[in-house]
Amino acid sequence: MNRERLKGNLDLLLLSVLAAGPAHGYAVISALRQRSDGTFDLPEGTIYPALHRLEDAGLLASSWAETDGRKRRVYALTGKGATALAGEQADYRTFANGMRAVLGWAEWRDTAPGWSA
Amino acid sequence: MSVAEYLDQLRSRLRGADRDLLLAEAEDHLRDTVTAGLAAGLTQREAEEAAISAFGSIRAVVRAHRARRGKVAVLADVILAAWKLGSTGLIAVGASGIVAALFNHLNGPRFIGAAPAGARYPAASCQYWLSIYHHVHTCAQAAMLENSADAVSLRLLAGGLGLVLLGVYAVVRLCIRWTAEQHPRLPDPDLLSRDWFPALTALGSGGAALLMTVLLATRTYLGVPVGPGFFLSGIIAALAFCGAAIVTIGRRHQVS
Repeated sequence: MNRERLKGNLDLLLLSVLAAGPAHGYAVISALRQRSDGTFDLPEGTIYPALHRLEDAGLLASSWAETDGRKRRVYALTGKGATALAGEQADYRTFANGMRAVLGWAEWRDTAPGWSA
Repeated sequence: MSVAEYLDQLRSRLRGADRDLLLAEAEDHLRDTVTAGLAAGLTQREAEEAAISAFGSIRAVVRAHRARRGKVAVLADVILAAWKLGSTGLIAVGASGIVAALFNHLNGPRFIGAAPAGARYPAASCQYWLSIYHHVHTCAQAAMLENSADAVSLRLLAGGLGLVLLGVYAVVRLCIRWTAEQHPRLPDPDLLSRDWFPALTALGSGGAALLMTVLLATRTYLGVPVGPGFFLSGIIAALAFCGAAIVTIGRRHQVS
């Protein structure tokens, strides 16, 4: 998978994962990998600065919490983050529908009997 | 490379007040990944290597971190570093003022202030100096007294200013450290403290010592002609700072 394309959608992916509930960085990265069937496999260390950036923007909030007997930084979606996620999802859905329509037509055109360029 | 070595390298490359947060998360993350690897049957070494490989290169992590901080924060890092270096430079000038005062005390004003025979002075300057030093009758004598006094007072003034600036820097550094978690975009007050600060101090003071040695040897004067003690006091202070910086670098390397 093209990493630049993935990076362009990283914010949406991280917000989507955290929409399921607060989680620490390791859990976020594991969920991202599992939910994408291993397709979205960025260097794990680059996810943390992205989480920090989203926190700077007020889309996430974080705090230290005790999980499994260890102190970890847990991230949660803020109200602003939830609103941004809804907007991003709607945008992406429109974009994906458009892409699907165009790519689907191209696929049909190439394979349709009797069609010639 | 082990996880500990990886974290050490990451620590030395990351900048910014929020560096500690990322390091803590990186350590936690790598520890979790190693535990998962061991559970999957890998050896400790294999698990650590796999964890590091999945986490990404130091360069990739540092780049992601830097991109998040933005150009303004990086510029602020540089300004703070320049502030620290500039303050140190001014303190070195102040130290040369102490050496100059010592020379004045031991050798009299001639060693610092007396220009070689035949030196010429601007008429306006002569008039000014003679108005200050009533007890002397020649411009050369007045210039000698003025130069030897200025070499002490102006340099000590610069040193005092350097101390004040360094004190303000220390307060700013403390404030940034205290509020680092709430304000992760604040500049990094320790941008140069690990390796670069002593290296740049050694380079700057060594260069200054070399320049003054050349000026002394070639009898080149910047402005008013002065005696050899004028440059020699500067050379001694610059070499002292250069030596201290080199010793610091040497100790760091011994420790690491």
